[in-house]
Amino acid sequence: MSVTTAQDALRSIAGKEEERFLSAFFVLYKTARLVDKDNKTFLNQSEKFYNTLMPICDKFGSVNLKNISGRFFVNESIVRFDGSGLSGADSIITEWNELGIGGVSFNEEISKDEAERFFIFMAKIKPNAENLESLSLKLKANNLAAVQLFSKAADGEDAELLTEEARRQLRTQARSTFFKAMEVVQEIVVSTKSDSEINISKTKRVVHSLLDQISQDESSLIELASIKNFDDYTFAHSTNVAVYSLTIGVRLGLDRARLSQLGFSALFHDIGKVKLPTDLINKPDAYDENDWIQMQRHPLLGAKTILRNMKFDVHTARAARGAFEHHINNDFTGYPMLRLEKVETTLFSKIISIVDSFDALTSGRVYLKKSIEPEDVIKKMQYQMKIKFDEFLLKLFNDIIGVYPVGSLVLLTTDEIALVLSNNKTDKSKPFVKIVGDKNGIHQSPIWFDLASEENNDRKIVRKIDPENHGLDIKDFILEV
Amino acid sequence: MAENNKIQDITFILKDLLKVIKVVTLYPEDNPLPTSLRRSFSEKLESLVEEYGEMSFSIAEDTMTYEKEIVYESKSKEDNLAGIFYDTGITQLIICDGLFVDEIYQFLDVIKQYINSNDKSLDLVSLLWESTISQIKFKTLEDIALSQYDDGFNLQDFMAKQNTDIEHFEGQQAVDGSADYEKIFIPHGTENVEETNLTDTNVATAEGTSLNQNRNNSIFYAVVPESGKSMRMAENEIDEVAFKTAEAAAAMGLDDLPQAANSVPDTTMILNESFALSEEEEIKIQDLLRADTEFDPYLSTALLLKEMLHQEDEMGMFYETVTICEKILQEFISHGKLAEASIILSYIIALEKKIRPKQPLWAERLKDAAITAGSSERLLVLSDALNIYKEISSLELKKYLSLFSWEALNNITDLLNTLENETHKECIVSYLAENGKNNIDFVGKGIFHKRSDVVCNAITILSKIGDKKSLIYLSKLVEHRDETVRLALVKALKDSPSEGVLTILKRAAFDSNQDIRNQAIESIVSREGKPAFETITEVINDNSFIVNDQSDQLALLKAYSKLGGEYAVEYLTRLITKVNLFKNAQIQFFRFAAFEAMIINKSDRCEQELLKFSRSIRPDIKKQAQNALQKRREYMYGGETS
Ligand SMILES: [Fe+2]
Ligand SMILES: [Fe+2]
Repeated sequence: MSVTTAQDALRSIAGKEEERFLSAFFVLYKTARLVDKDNKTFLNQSEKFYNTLMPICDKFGSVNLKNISGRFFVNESIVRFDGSGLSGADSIITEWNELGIGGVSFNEEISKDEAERFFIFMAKIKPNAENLESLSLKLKANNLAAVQLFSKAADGEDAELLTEEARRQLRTQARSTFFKAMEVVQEIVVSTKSDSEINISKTKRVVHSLLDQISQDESSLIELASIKNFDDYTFAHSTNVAVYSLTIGVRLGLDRARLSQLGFSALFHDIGKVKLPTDLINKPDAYDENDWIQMQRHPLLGAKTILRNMKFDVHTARAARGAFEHHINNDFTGYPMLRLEKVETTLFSKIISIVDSFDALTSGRVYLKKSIEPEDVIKKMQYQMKIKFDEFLLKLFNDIIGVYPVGSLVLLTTDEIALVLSNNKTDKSKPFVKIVGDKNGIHQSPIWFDLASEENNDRKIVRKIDPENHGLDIKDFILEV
Repeated sequence: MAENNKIQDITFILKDLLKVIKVVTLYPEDNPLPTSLRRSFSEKLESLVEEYGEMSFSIAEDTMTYEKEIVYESKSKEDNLAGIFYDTGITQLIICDGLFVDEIYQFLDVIKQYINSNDKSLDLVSLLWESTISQIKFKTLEDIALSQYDDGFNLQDFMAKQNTDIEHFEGQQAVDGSADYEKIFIPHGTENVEETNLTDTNVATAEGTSLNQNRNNSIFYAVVPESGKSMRMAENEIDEVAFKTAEAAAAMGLDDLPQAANSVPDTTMILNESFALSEEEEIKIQDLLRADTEFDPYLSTALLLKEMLHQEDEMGMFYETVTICEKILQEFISHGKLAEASIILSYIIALEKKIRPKQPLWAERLKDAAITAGSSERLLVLSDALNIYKEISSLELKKYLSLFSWEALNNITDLLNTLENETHKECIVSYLAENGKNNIDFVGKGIFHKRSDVVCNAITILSKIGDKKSLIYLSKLVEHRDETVRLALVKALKDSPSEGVLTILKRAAFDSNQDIRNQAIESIVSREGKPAFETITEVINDNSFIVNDQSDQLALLKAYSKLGGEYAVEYLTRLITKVNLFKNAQIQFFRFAAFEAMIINKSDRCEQELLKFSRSIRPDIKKQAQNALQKRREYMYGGETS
């Protein structure tokens, strides 16, 4: 049996048939780990599995199942699972990763008995004693030629494997999640203004959905967060801060409970601004010293609002700290000045502080008229490292934003204009992009490219383009389906 | 037929689910009953899922529906499976194919945690989401509300709302002839300043003066499209606020940004490796994460509130902060977090003292908060919490109570009416005994309570205080209708420091209940000394002594002898020598009792009198005296005497 690599381009979104196959695959795999070959449950599940396998085999001659960076592909189609994933798949995938297995292929000649033997064989693997080669040899020795194992794709190869169609679906879903979050922020603001009850359960659910989205596909949400010229920027800002914070949180490996608290805190970080007098907010002139003193009250007002208007629990406790501390720097400069004791700010506040500065500066909406390019903001922030921000968290955030942040426009050597869709983990200079135009103008239907792949060697990024300088609205490209 | 079986199976499994939930939540983890029930249920459900595949239930207030058939209907409010889900907003529960025992266990654990937790802030939806159960899914009311946004949100509208300053391109036509657009393709370096390059762009202040010449002192590069133009604010934009650039920089905490732009590293040149975290940096991040696991919402908020009390410079705002402190204090108490509540309350008290000289009105508000914390309404919350969280230690409770002053004594006393846990009651009692001296009227009112246990607690407190006033209260109980109260009274008075208790005990010695009489005498005897002797003497001299029960009389004489020493001997000898010609049983008994009493009299005079009696010509006296002498020696020099 030959070992092939899983790094082939993939095509589209899988249908119900593939979904059922994948589900049956993991159910049987897990069953094999728990019981013996002649157990009733095992035989039942194997029956089910075989019944889902054969129709696909009949159609395509074989069934290839691949796992690439947590996503599942059946015969090159991405299989989507809502949020919670597949039963027991996690531990199996962890084991596969250790062994270097990227997937498995069943060819149409496979018998039910062979399939059963395969699962029993896989279930008995001792990860420390084996690797892909030894396993492949053993499969052969066991007369299981109808099954092949794939090697694991290297990190960063996943971007290209997501086809346009798959991406489109993820993006549509991300957009719905993002705007739901914005609507919820808007509701929160309205409730806060009128001092009526804030719907905490709804806020939590929206954080849950943001998180489910991010753990599947962080780029699409970051792309949306990079739109800074929404009319309702206030609502977008809080949503953006939640998206960036959660992305950092996921990278940090926070558990779900803490991620939920982090997202919740982020959504509420600027709630104190709602409590500032409207004429201050709407003041057309430059702020005088007094105005500024007022403005600096928003962290305190935020903490007060949260503690006063919401039932106390771990979420609100987190949010109150986040609101109070998000403008306090690592060296205790910033505001408010701590008057009692210099207590170190919490991890969540540090995270929110970084992404809040980033979003506010890149948007140019919060304190400055003009936005600053993400990379420049990062440069500035790097200067603040050690003093202002937590340097390690900032570095992590840098890694997320990259050289060409998701959602920015770039000019290519081919004189094409492209929108950065996701970063390449191994080479920041070669992101996954969508080409939106060229010298002749904007394309009606954009084309997607992975700048890291061999065939796109001639396409390199020349520089970033500031869309506003050229009468372009980045929103048009990002929101386009 | 098969379909019927399916519905029936599902109906049964839901009944079982309720049963297993009840048992797991009721019994401790190590009890064999929940363990075996949980296992059998999980196996049953697992095979059911295997047989029927995915099952989706619609949840209503007290029913669960599967494929339009009601498969569960609750019979009572307490036993409501649907209610467990419905109350938390779950409207649909989906059990998916591939559900195994391990996840069913996990599911039951989450429900157990939810039901058994006293933490009122836990919600089942979050707990289920946070657990990693993959094959049990659910939909909530919030999901339904959120899904409506899908329709309501119209992207085109959204985009149309954008201001028209920026030209929107629609296909190729729009681009034709757009000079701005064409500029994109001019090779970099040959065009005018085109990218927002920090080094080349003008830096402006709000006043409109360029900061270019001040570059070396300038601290922040606010990039504006045209230098000199003041910043204009868009309407209804909360965030879009124009003000001095330096202040903007300060706002972002970037006020000390080193100015030399040329030295800013070009990020595009940063090698990819520089993005990756080094091992050392990973460790630093792990440290941050570890520190965060210690985050305690209560402690965190207590510290935050302390800081917040210092943040306001205006009295009205300060009052508002104090009100928030009061709200949180209440919530902490109701969550059983007394230690953290103590942090808040003790800080309110300390701050009040500190600021009183300079800010009397501010201090007054704090004082008010401290007093309100001890109001009956607030203490009722404490009482409820103590009854829920039995594990709250006396130490914690005592520490919290210690923050109250006399104003709260009355209400703290009332806690004894509602508390269930003995340890907590004892703690309150000892607190009141220590702190109630100057407010006997508060702590003593319990004796009028109709519940005997409350009266008994008041007895303990008053007898511990033991001053004149408290004894006046206690003396009212000698004739209390409830024997347990009277018994408690005589027992409690045993250790009371005040001599005044003897008057009460003397009265109790004539109680209608023998136990109480005995206990009263015992309590008198245990007090020793002349006053006790006098009291006993008074009891014996009382007219009612003769009509007393014999065992009482014996006990009293013994007490009299023991306490009186040589002073008691005379009376006892009189009882012995009393002539009893007609074999009067009572005289005979008193003689016997007197001898018994002399056994425990340690005085020399007693010895002498006994010796005299032992040589008596009256055989009855002689015999008893010899007997008593021997017993007395045993009593005094070793060996026990009964
Ligand atoms: Fe803020
Ligand atoms: Fe903010």
